[in-house]
Amino acid sequence: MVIPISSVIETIRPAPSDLHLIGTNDRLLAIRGRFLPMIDVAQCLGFGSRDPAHSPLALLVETDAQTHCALIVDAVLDQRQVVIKGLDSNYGAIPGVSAATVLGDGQIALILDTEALTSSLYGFNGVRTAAIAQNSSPASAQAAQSMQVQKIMTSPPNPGAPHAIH
Amino acid sequence: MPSTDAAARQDAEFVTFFAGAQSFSLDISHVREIRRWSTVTPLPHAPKEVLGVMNLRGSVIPIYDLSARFGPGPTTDNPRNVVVVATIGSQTVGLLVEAVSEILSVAKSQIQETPDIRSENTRASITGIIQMEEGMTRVIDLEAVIQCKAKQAA
Repeated sequence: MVIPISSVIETIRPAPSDLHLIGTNDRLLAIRGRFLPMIDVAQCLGFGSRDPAHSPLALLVETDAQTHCALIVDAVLDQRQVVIKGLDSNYGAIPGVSAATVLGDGQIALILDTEALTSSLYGFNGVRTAAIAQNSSPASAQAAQSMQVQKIMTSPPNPGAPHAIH
Repeated sequence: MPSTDAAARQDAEFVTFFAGAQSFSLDISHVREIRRWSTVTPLPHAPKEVLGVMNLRGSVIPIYDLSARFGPGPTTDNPRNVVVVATIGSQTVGLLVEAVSEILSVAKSQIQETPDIRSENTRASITGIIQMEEGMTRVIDLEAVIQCKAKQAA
């Protein structure tokens, strides 16, 4: 997974005391006196939820709407420049994913659409995600598990400039 | 009518392959190449037959598991599995199959219509049946296989 660095403000590993439950399932992260909603990226994408005992890593992101929230990931691997490859021509649009890129080893990483992920906060795809997660076959869930560790931060060639799709 | 006779006698060529222990065939004009299996990146919110995306010389192509689509379940991991890279229109996709067997050349009149089977989903994507020396092979409609995904995702 790749996330545009322009939207990332900072990465933190919150202490358990900074995590607060709100409602039945939502969690908030306390940081410097503010409370930010936490979004579990794996859960949002239908890859199953993570082990709650494992201390999470949070990426603080800012969206165009100036809202801040914390994306929960397993690990940050590195920062790199990537060439953006569209998914629409051969497959179609995927909620939460804006495009793909080819890594150095030939593997494909998906570029997260932070806008779409954070808008799920407002009930955009919470229900839908749950429904799809139930439908997914054991094999695809397994494949997804092995992918969760591949969270990569990336810097676009020109931070701030619109991405060209090659 | 002589014109339809000529059309019926005209040969059609198919690549046949096995997926989920069933024989399938695809019009050879769609087949671009056959590649060894390599790791795919799973896609979020994908239907069960979409395994993920693979890197084909720099382009990102989705891989469909034919066995998950038509057969008894997802294809089991096997280093001998191959990917049939097929094109339709401007789209390039990969089909995961267990083995590619042969190129079949038949007269168009030998392709039988798919009988009235109960599963509409299957009937939409299998356009016909060709009798072979051993059993039969199912002629798949690539477009229907791909569109099925679009319908489910929508």
